Amino acid sequence: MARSTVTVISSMFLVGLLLGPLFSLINFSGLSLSLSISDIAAIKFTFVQAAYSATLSTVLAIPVAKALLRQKFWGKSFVVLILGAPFILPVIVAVLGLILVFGNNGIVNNFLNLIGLGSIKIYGFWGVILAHVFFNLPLAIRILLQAFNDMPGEQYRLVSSLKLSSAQKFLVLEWPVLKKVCPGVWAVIFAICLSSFAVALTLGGGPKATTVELAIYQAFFYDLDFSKAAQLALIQIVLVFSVVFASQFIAKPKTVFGLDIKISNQNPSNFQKIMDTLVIIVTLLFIFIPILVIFFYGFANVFFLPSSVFKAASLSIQIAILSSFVSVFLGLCLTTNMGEMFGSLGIAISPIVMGAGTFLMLKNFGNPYLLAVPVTAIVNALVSLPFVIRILKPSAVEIRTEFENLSRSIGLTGIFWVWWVYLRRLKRQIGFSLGVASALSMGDLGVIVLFGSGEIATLPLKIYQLMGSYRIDEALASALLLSLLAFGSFAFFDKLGRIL
Amino acid sequence: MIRFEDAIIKIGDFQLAVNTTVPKGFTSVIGQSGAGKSTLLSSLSGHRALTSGKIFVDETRIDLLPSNKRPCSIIFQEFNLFPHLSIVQNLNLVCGNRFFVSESSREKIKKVLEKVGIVELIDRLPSEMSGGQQSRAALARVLLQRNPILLLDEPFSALGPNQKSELIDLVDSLSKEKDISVLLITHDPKDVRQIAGHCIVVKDQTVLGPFETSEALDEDGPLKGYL
Repeated sequence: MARSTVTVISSMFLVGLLLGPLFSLINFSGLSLSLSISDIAAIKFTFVQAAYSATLSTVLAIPVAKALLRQKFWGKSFVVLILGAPFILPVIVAVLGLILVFGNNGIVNNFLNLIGLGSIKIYGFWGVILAHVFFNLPLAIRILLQAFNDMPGEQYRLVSSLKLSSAQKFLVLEWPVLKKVCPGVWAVIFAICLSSFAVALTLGGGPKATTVELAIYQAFFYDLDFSKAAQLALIQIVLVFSVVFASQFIAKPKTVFGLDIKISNQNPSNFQKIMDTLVIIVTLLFIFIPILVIFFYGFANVFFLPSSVFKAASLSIQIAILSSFVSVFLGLCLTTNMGEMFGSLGIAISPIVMGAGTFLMLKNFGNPYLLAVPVTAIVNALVSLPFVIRILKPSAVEIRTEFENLSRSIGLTGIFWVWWVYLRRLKRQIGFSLGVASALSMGDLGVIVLFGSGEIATLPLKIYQLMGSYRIDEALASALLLSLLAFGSFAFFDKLGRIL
Repeated sequence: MIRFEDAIIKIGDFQLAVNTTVPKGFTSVIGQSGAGKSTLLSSLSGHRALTSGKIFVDETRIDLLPSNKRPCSIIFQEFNLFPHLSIVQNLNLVCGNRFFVSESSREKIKKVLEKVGIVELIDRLPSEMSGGQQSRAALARVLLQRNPILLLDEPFSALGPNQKSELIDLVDSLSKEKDISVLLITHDPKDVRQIAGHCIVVKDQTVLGPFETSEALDEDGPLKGYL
């Protein structure tokens, strides 16, 4: 089968998966729009928190990226590598970690109380922003660092030979890069935060800190107002599509998966060295203390967890395996420009919206709760699909370019080409994609909250339930287990791709 | 015998007109860089479509056939072997069973590798072999394909003069033994001299010849100004 045919069939399958829920949302919304004051507040909050999160993440990333660029130190590559960790860290784990550090009885507030300063509040607007900065600051740092790193070393040499002032150096060297990259970074983070659900669910809520996604969940779960949920879901789709459409006019930053750190020719002053060291240390503490405290507090109870937690963990593993294989299979079929466009629909239509639409669609045919596992796996697969395509596509295109003539000349096509060339040449990227997709699915707290129940719960949902019933010790130990599963599945598949 | 009948190949502003008949045996294709030598071979192998005209091999029209159905094998300048597959796996791709290397395929592959002198490298990866050995492996695959025409798109250009000369001799002897017509692209007149066959010249967007090699290399021949 020709490559284009495979892409068209896969794209149609994907569109079918998305259109079914969309039509059922339109049907349930009754094609009417009656927004209450709280709905309008949710829309406003969604935009405001996304704008704050994107702006803070982008602005804070600039000094960190510059510090990492300027300073040479042992383990620098490792530091940049582990800045990718929050990407696959389950949201619920990060939230628990942030509560332990910044919560009412957290490390920071205890210290502030000790020195007689007032305490900070993690719940509400600033808590949501804090969590979003925690997740997106490392992403912004890596993209900016890559952009600075792509500048030719000759430019640094030229500027240093001209004996320019700091301000002139900034204008000549850094400003053109920042001007080019920052709008794209901001837009990516804004789009991510626009669909924030798990953070808003755990740290937000109430009339002042509810996102549209959270409002959909509340209409669905608490009010059982499916019409309202459908209307809000359609609004969310329009919001995200508008932002994605608008962001097409902004230069897209490079997605950073690999690391190719060049050392630039810079000679920082002693003051600059001290400041850079401080910036790097504070950033690393901000990112890694919440993760480390989970390990510290969770370890004591991890061997005494109730069987229901292990049952939830087992379900999470099953869903993660199924979802990652579906995602990578679709990704392998969609490594063309058209395929990438269709595959990216998963970003525009969030898990909660997809889940709500699927729930309403399945409600017409029977009990939707019975299909919780396959629906969660498929929705998770679609959510990770854009990342999977971004990992696979560059190498897939390279393989086709390099070996097309040879393959055609010996008549190596179809399934034989896939078996001997495509899969074998892509095995590292396939392993890495499976790792990313399984880790993302393992930590997902999205569609399962609509379909889950006391009987059917994934590990993130179980942790949320434990937090809700104030069983914090068990929640922490479960969070440790979840982190180990997420990082473990990533490491397992990534390694598999390297050794096979 | 290969016959181009009013063939035109257009690529952007570039156009190559071909109206020639290539005789059986060894034919070198010579011309300056960018003259259209590779384009000519690509049109014959089916990697590039004709804009107009026809191509015949003997009396069979082939320009409408897909590349893998044409009676041609081709060795390119680079990417002639899949680097992640061993030599036996690479060669097995043109044998009957394509999912695994059967015992009979392995024997068949051994025989052709013996002919090109690298049977001991059967299980090596291309990266574990020299450039000359890789070219021999690609030649072995050509023998397995059993096509009556072999197109060589400067496959030996990265090799040293001795290795290159050895390989041209090997191609020459194998083509005679297996009755294969060879078209060798080169821009080195030494290669043309080495082969007592025919020569076609790609010049000024047209294909001239075929000429006897000695005629082409004559001081007043079609290569005047190039030699």
